[in-house]
Amino acid sequence: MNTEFIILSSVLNILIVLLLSPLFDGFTRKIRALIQSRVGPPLLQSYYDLLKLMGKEDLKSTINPLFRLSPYLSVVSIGMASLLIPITGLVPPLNFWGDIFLFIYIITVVGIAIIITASASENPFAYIGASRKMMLHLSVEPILAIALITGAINAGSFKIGDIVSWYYSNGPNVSMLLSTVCVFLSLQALIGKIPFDISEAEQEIAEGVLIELSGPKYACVKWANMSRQVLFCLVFTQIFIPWPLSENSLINVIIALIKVTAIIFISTLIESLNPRLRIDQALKYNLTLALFSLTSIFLALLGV
Amino acid sequence: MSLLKKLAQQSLKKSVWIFHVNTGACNGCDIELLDILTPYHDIERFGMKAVSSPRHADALVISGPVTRPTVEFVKSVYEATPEPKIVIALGSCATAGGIWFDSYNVVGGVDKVIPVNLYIPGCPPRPEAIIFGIAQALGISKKKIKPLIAEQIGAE
Repeated sequence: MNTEFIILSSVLNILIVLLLSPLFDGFTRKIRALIQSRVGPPLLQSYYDLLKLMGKEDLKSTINPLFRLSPYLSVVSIGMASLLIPITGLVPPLNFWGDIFLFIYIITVVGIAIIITASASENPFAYIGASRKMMLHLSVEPILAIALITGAINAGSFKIGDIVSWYYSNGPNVSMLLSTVCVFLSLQALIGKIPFDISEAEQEIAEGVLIELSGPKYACVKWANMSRQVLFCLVFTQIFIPWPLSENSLINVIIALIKVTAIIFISTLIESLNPRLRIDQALKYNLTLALFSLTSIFLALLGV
Repeated sequence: MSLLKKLAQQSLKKSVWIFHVNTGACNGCDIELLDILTPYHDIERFGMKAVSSPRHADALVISGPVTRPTVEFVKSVYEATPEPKIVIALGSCATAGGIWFDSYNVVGGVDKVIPVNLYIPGCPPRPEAIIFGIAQALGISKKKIKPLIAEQIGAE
């Protein structure tokens, strides 16, 4: 673990998660347009949207300081979390004991920041959106946590790097396969796409949590949402499907990008072919999945 | 800082988000506005989309004559939209009051209440006319009519 590797992979991780995420969002919008037999926006559309929003006036609907600060917190914590995922190799740039707990905490902060913004914005639609987002987060975060803990029990270490190395060299066993399937089934809820975009339901509660945000703040929250999508796809592809892997870190980055594109394509297909669930249906789905994924911990403790 | 502002101004032309305000229209213009979101016309290829909150909008599309009960709402929607913004009056009623120009309950066109940048007349205007009007306002396409010059009004 030399300094050069840490700097290179930190830069690459932040580049992929933060700077390439609008490109993936543009890809999503293009695919959705093609499914609906439209031409669709250009591939770089999301960059234009973000740049435009950065230059708009920042209207303040309230003087609450939480409303002013927490949109920026969401982007920053996404950037932090991106440093804990291995993209350039088997180990992430920040590799220390217990980083899976830090990862779960930081991932939760992203949602919490948006919930705080919505709760501080003094809009009834935002309150509904915030309460729905909180319920969704509370029900879906345990699935990812259980899956990571299953990996930790199997590898015998609380480092993400060790889990990935163990998984890469030992191959899948029953418990890891089970948790991989559970994470894949909860991926749509983790990235907040259509069957589970209940908190931002555009037609129903007018973008809910985002309704009072304007200008740079809205750009930050939108950017955080786009980056969250890439981040969770990376979590799935890099931690739960670490194959194939080469010696060269740049080739690893290209492999990761191809895998993420495939996962985003699948999730876009699910998004454009499905209706939105109600909050009680989504809670039922997530809690059933969480209970089901608990079995993977027992299987891991049994050693299979 | 100025570079970011320049980039923001340039990308404003490529992504205009529309908020639709109905100030008492008969729904004719509203249905024509919904037509431009359909796959046939597909306004998203210009980066435009309809948003559900005026705080996200760049363009306010106002249809209908401004009736007395809605005057305050039109003003507050205008204030709730962040700068830079354009206001588009859609249809004959929004342009000048239409057939309700002297009705007791109608203030008049939208320009009596808030400043208007673009008028799209018609009862209702065709979806092509709406897209053409917005494209003109953004500078994507040029005006097709000649400017009013002396020979047109016969004054040599």
